Amino acid sequence: MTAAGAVTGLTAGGVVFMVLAWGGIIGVTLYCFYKLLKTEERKR
Amino acid sequence: MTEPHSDPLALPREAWASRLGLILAMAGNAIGLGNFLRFPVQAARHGGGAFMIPYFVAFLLLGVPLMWVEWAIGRHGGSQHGHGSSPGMFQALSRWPGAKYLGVIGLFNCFVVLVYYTCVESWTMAYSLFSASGKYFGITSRAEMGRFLSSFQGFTSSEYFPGGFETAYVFLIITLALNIFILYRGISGGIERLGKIAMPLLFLFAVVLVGRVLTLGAPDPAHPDWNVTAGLAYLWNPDFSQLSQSGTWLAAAGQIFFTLSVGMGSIQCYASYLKRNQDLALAGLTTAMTNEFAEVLLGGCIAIPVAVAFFGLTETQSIAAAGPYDLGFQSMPIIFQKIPMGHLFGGLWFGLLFFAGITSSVAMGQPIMAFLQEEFGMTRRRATAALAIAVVLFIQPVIFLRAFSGEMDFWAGTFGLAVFALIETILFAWVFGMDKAWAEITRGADIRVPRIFYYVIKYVTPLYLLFLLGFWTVQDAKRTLLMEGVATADRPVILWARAMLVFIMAGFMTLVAVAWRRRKHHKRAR
Repeated sequence: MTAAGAVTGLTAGGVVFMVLAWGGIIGVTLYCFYKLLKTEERKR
Repeated sequence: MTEPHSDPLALPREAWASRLGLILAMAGNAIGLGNFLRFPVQAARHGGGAFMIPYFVAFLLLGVPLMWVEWAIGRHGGSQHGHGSSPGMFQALSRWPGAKYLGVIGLFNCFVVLVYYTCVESWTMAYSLFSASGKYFGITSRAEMGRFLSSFQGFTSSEYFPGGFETAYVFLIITLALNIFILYRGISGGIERLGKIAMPLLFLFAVVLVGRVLTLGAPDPAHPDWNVTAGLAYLWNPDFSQLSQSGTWLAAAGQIFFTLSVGMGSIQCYASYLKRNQDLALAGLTTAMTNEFAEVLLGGCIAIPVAVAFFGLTETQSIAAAGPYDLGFQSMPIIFQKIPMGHLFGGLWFGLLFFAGITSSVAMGQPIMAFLQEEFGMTRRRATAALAIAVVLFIQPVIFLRAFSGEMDFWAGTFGLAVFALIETILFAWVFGMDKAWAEITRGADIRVPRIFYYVIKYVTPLYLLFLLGFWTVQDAKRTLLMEGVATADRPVILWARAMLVFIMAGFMTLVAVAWRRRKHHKRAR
């Protein structure tokens, strides 16, 4: 993160960004695969 | 599997055997070495968590729209006109006869990147075996690992590889042969099968490595502050001051660009094997999200956190500054020696990189195969042989001259991508027409594509690309062109590299001219 190299632990901001990014990606990816499965089922 | 189409001159085309196979192959194309090496370095350098703001902005305004544009250009060119490579696809979008020559950039990018990428891919295969056999075990400094790598590549001599470049050459031949074999097997029998095997393995290896890294804690009792949490903090704690720097926004846009493999010509080729009414909106989005999963969740949890846990923050910052190859090939091998079952984890790490590499390199080879088969009527066997001979010829200077690959990477793997993406977006949204383009993207869609993307694709994406290209021209292209900061000894090598690039481009231009003349002749004869 910073050039100063003073980081020792995750800050609240770091946790928020990590959770939002991970959660968002997991959520949308799962939704995409769910939709794919549903449409495949429907087409069959 | 083959599918008929409307162009009477075109041959019956192959098709994907399953939708899952298509998505795994497309995801394999996108997921490359950059997901595990380049992304964490970029994020750590440019504001940690705050980097994710411009990163996701670029994903929405550049990555996803370009993904849909390339899938749509590919499906349109393939299913309706019988073209699996960009010259034919571009010609199908415009009546202007010069359009096919703009498409040559897609062949050029794919071929040039394939040539040097195969080299790097062969290193990952070699290092996977070196890890399992413990060949580099005993080397404890980054500088010495650098000497090990350099002598493996044949650039310097050392006791590790007394035969010089021979070892690297053998691995290169094996890697190239594997790529050629997969391409020879075709779309469903080769590329799709590779995706179905390599992608689950890649994710399995990555999950095992992430599990190992996250349970490391503080491995050195003498340095309790060197731990995985500090590594995650280095990657995620936001430094909002970086958001005011234009470099951060450009780095994020560049990362999105490279990670999704847009601007290459390979996505269009894979999409050309879709059926006319087959969904591309959901499949394209799923591919992009799978890539993001591999990059942000898995890639972000391996190299940088483990480097902080073993080297501390200060040295990790210097590793990040030295670039992704230093991180992957010099720092990680030292770490594997310090953890129990390091042989296994080293093998998994480089195996993961190899799978990421080969699924991308076959994607770069396929447009050339499609071009030779469809525009010259070659059999798959002859097209494979022609591609193999061309790669073997042009890869020789890359093996022996270090400066070659850097020059190729910049002109085809960086600058060329932005140029090609800008041209295809303008051609698709403005020349073909945005209404027709939108109909192409949404036809057969299994999700509702938000209407706002109509305007994003028409206005925002080209402007974003123009800005990116302009900045790279001012910042990098001019400096690279004038060889600023290049050692005098390397200058002739760089000039040779440029001469080779011009020769490749001229060669493809000539082939396109010949192919279309041949096409015209055949039409007349009918």
